[in-house]
Amino acid sequence: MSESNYAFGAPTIPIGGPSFDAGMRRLPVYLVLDCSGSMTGAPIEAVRQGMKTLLGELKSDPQALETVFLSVITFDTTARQVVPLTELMLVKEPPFEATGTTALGAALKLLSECIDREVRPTTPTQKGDWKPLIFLMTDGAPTDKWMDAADAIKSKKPGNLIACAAGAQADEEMLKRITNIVVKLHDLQPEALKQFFQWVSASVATTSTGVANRGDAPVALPPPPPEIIIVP
Amino acid sequence: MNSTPSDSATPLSPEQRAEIEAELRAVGGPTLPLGAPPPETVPKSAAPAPKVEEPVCVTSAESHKIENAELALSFSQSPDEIFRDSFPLEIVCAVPGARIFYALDSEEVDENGLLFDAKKPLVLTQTTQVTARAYTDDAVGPTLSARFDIVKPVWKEIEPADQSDPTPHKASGNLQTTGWNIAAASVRGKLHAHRGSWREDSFTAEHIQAESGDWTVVAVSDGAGSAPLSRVGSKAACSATLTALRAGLGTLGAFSDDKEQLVSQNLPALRQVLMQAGADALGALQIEAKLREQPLSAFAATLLVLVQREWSGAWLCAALQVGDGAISLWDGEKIVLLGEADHGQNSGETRFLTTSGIENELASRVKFSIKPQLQGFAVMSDGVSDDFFPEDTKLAELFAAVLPVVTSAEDAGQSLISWLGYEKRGSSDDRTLVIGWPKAKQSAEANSGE
Amino acid sequence: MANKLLTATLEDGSTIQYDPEVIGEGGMKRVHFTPDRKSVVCFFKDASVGADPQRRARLQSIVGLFNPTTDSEVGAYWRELFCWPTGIVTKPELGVVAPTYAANFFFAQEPFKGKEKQASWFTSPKLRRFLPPQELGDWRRYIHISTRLARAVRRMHLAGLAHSDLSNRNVLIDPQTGTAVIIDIDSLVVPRIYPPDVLGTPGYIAPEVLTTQDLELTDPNRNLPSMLTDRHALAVLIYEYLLGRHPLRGPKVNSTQSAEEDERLSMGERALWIENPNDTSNRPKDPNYMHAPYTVTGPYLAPLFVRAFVEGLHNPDARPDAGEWERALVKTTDLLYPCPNPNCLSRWFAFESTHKQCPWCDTVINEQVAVLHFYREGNRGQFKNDNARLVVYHHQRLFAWHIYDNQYAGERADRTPKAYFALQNGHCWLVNQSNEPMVVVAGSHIANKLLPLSEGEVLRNGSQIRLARAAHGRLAVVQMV
Repeated sequence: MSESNYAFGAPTIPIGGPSFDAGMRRLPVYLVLDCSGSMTGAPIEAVRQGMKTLLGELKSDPQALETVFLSVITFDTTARQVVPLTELMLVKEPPFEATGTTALGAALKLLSECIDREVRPTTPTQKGDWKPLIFLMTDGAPTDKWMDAADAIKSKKPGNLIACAAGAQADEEMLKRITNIVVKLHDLQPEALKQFFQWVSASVATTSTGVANRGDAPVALPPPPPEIIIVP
Repeated sequence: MNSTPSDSATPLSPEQRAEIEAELRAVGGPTLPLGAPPPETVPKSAAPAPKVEEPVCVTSAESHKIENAELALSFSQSPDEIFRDSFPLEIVCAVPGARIFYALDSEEVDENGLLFDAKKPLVLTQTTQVTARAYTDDAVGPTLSARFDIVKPVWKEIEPADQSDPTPHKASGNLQTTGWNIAAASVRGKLHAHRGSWREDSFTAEHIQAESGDWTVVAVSDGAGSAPLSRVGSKAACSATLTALRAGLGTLGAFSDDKEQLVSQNLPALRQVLMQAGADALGALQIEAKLREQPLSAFAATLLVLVQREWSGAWLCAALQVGDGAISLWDGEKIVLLGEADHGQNSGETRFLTTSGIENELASRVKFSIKPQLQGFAVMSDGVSDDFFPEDTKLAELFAAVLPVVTSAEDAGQSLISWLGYEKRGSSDDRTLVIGWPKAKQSAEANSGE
Repeated sequence: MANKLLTATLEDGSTIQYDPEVIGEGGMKRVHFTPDRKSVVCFFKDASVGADPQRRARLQSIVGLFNPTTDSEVGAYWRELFCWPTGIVTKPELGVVAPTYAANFFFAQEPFKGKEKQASWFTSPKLRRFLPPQELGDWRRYIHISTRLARAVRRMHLAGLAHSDLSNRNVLIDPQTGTAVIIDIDSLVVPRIYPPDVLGTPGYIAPEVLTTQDLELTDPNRNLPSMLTDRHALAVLIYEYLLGRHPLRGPKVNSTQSAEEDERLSMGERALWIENPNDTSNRPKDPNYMHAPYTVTGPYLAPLFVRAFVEGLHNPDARPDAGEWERALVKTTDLLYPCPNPNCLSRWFAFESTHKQCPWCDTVINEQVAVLHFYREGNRGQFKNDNARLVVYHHQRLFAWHIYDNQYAGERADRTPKAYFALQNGHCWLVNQSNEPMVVVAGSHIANKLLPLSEGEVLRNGSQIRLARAAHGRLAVVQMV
């Protein structure tokens, strides 16, 4: 390296203005993604690409930028929170590796713990967060004890949970035990996963303003593309 | 270059710089000189015409009010100071609840004046006479009046008239070596821009892989402000240094893992390589001087060299410093300076490569350090290090400020150029900074949620 | 990849080609470009909407009867303010053809290149941080944006149309040029004929609409979007443009049951202006956030905010109408003064003789400032204060609507400057640029000195200048502050 690549710096102009978070509600969004061994190859690559697209789209949507905080939980033989609840602009793509079995129960348990810890409740002196929006995607049948965790989540209703059964192996009926909103992807082809992530980002963008006027009614989702089927 | 700045024969000390700035202010300051008469005075009645329905001014009932010394006012700033830039001024009254009226560029004020709002300090942007008086329902305080002088240096951006040996006003670069990211940037100082002279700093960095090790090398040189061709000198010094290091590090044998051997054999050999680099840099200046038939002093420049490699899980660093500037290592907590700036010692004379007898000092100017933890290193000209004086403590702030900028940028060198544009009063020299930080380790294990 | 163009049939039987690629998707519509990209073809996503005869009739009246943009005289002016549909598509499905928004309503540079300039980019302190500085505009531009929006809403209401979903999303703004455009015109509400099909966008829905949203649609107590709720949304938007904060979003918690319930109450039944002078319980605590109170908008706008957010918040009939906002904004334009602080981010402010201080950065004004107070001729040569004034700065201009008391700075205004002001050697000059002479009635050495074309006069405190001798010519009285 020497002084060969000449460039001109941008002037540094302070952008002042007030900062105000007291009245600003956050919309927590949790992505719970299956990274078990069956996702190896094209599917996990599609998840990586999908995550990239999702972040790109949300980071240029003004309403999402203003309110969304994002967390990513992945699970294989175990479950871990790879992105803690973070302001959207600061979220970096987490690494995804496909390996191991499908510890759905551990993932649901961890999700519940994270929400308890990270989502701010409304108190007499503090504006709390919006109800979290949760997207759960799995491609297979769980290999751990998941039923108690599923029942706990369903009865506790920590937020609006949308479960996605991806591919032929995924058991959509099992997901019904977790939430009433279940969608199905017919295959794990990159195109289908890409559509899923685009639909997620459209849902987040809509919800970030739409929740307010619907009270406690179920979240309104944008109509899904043909690759995604809402399981009745 | 024919328009040599007429500053002293050595680079500027902070005091000298202050002097020059004062001179600048006198020459290039605002066209309105100090003490200009206030604008044409006009009657201050706010009621303009007979049939006006605007709120008519309250006729002052001041004559009925008792003057009360307890309603004395004070300013939050002393008018004895000469301000360099706009600043906020508050008017403070010892008696709570009193209304404070003020007037600008007038020596009188009454209850028809402007009402001071304590939540909104007066931000003055130019020399202003401020007159204020406090009122209560039945009393009035003494008048407080003062003139606040604001004299701003007006910096111009002038292209050098002498277009020989052109040097871009800004330069940057990025380099990746084994385990390290390096970003470099250099910008022309405000003083040079104002005088239409060139940037005189120069830098270089390289990844050298040899039997002696996997080396990251960095060199920075700062041309003396008084030397007309120092931009040529600094460039030649950097390039000769690099050539010498390639050859020197290339011929050194492999380093021993044994500390005893390292200290007794390898480090002395490395010292020789760095001394040779310094000598070759001086040689390059001598050649330039011969070719151009100019005195050697016309090429006066400093030289700061840092070479670094991994050794037994730690980082082995060696440096050579001739003249001002700083070579610093950062372990996440403390700053270690590898080398000493020369100002203030040796009969007050700043050293350059061209200082006579410098060859004999080279050996003592080589420093070593082995750090088990190294979060960053930085080599900089005094245009940067003087703004972080004292360096051994203040440079931690530099790492804290710069590392987030360069690590998050797509083009780290480019972002460093922007960062080097920071404003600091009295800081007007060329600024050059080469900074290195470790690459993120491949994180294999994520934390378990179980 | 060149797409094979598709063809749509319009109601009048003509055809239009469009690109099959969907360039955008809103809540209700899918949008396609025409090959020249000057227009877009939009189809309703929900097939039942397309089949609804009511929908088609509504579109017909919007494109035809109520359309201000086809007016031969001022249609071009309205075309800048509205993205008004130009045709109805009948095949392959029901849809509309509309002009593409002007290029300046899209970000031209990264990081948001190609994105629409929705107002929230500029009014949210958080989002402003992400924008390039040159996009941010100055306060004068936000006055211009507000004026255009108020004017556009006034025109719609004049035709008997309610927008029903005015929001930060449906008004695009460009602070660089001070322009605004209302989009999504096709869901306009014609009272009693075509009811609204959306409640609005959160943050802009009038409190009475939220309060009664659980009632049946047919319930007479149910409040639906109307011109009165447009007035609420308009006030919220103007407040956001001019002060960079939302008027109702404060710290007060109205329900701890859930965030959603709290929001419903805070924007509805219990909505409370953060600057309500009688009840400060919703006032944000951060002094920086509230550094510029609503009063900095000046003597014409501040009372309107009080009417909109104190008296009119829960009493829709008390809200100022769009025309009142427009007139107050036009008059406020005449109070603008440039801040002398080169680092001031707002750069302009509404000058007040009693302050002489920029409310945004607190910089004081050292210079004497000339203020022209306008008087209109009443009976027998008596002049009455017209409650209008012009704050003078270097190269400020005087227009016909300043000179004559019967002219208005609206869509039909004569926009050629009639005079200008200039600061020279510490004096402020007024120079006539029109063929109509002005008369310096008082303040000059000569009584009734004439100021013909290109002649100037130094403004002095108390000077009186008849701006035109013709009928309706105003008298200006100069005040030096």
